[in-house]
Amino acid sequence: MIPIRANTRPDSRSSLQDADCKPFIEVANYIAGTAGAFIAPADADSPDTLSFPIDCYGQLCIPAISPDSLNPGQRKALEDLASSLARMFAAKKQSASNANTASLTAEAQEKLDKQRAFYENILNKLPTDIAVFDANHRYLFVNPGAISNEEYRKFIIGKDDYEYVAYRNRDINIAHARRAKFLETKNSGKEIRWEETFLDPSGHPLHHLRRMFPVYDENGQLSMVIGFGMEISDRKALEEKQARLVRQLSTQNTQLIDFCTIVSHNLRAPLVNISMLVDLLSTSRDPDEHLLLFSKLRPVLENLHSTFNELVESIQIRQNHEIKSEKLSVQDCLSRTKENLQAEMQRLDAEVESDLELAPVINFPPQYLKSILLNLVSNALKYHYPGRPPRIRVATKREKDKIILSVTDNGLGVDLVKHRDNFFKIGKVFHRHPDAKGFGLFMTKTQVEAMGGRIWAESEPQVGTTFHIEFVNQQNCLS
Amino acid sequence: MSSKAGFDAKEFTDGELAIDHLRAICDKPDLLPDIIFLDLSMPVMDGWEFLEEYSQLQDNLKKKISLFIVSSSISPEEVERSKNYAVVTDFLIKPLRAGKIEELLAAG
Repeated sequence: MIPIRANTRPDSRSSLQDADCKPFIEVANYIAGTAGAFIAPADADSPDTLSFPIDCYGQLCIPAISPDSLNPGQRKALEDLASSLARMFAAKKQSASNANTASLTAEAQEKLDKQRAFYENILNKLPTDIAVFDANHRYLFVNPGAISNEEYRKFIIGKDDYEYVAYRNRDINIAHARRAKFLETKNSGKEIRWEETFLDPSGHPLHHLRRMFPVYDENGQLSMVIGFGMEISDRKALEEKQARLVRQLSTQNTQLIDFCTIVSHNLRAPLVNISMLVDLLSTSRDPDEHLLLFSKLRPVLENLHSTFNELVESIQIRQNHEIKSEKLSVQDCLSRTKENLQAEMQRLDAEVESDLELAPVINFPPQYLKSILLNLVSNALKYHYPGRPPRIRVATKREKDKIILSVTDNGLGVDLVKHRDNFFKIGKVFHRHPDAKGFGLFMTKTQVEAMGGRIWAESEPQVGTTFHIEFVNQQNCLS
Repeated sequence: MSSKAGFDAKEFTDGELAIDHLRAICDKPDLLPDIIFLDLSMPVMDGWEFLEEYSQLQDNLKKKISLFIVSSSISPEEVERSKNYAVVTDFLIKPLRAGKIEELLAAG
């Protein structure tokens, strides 16, 4: 017997018993004139068989027969049969393996789908918006947090912001801005963060913190850019509240320091002067000297009295959080101011002109606006340039939700380079005027600041002064 | 009362009036004062501005003058600030007693 070794391995013994083999076995028996042909695995090594190699599966075995009993025609026919058998098995194996692969893929696919659903579920449910871009800023993925409408969400895949903006008929600047951020990430190779504010459909501002970072493949090539944003309106509101509180505190602290300075200086000064004068009075025996010292007491006492009253009033203004603003006609207030100052205006041949058309109405506490106008206009009269009839101009204008009121005069002016820090302080006097007490501007400033506004001045000596007052929260006066 | 105490005093209501007067008499030793008492809080030109001007004028003064700041201020910053001016002899905090002035005059 000549064993003919198969050089291939069977990988499915069961398939050797397949019914498909039967016709081959019968043909083999017929050719060899025997009745026991079988197919053996490649590793079977039976001494009593004549084997023909079947590629892939093993050997076609003809038992109990010597090789010499087969003529070359029979041998050739059996070899051909074996190779046909091999081809059949090969074909079967291929289709089996295909089927195998197909079933494996289906299984893997199901698993992948589950995984994908799992991750997408997470991405879709996250309270953030997520967008993934390819290296050319085309969308690979967006979650419903980013685009809630499913149709739009499907549309955007494979497109860029310019196509999307055109599709949704939106402002192209949105696309410009997003492209700029994308390029910033792409070019820097780093994560970037920024804050964005836009209005929700009902017009409320929404604040978002956005982050974008590049992702690289194993070759260091940019494979995608991931962007996500989180709504931080609550945090933003808290931050703003804190910032407001800090501002408020620092203002109050400044006021407190000012107040201490006023008490330690402006109140102490007249007090020690009185005590010195009384001291001298008690030791002096000269009646003339008595009269002199006594005459010096009264103005000091008056000064102390006024300072004290101003202080009390300023504290009342600062603590009066209940005070109500009203829509006031600036023209009406100004007319009343002019009536109050009529005598002085006539004496000086003064004129007050007004330009109030841009903002004729101001929302402010009536007594404050009255006091502010009276102070500024009477200051302009008091510090007029000698021999020059006072020309006073009162004007208003809008700036967003604010109104600026300006009072300009052609009076003495003040060197603000020297006096900038002291201009609005209590008891500061810049001119030799008998009525100059240094209270007016301090009170005006207190009233303006109590309502959240600002006051500042421009001035040139011998030319004149302009005071500007900013009134805030004037939305309802702007229409 | 100053004349009774044996000396003569001139009073100015603000720094500018004082410095103008000093400029006018800076080369007349018999008209120049021995002592200047300077208030800090004054209209038009306050004590600090006066010190700036006076420091420049000092070289032209034909007399050695003592300058005392007399203030009701109790602010340590102001006392510190006054030390930047070599022309300032001392910083006196009000109230001042007559005895203190006599003491200074005796020393001068």
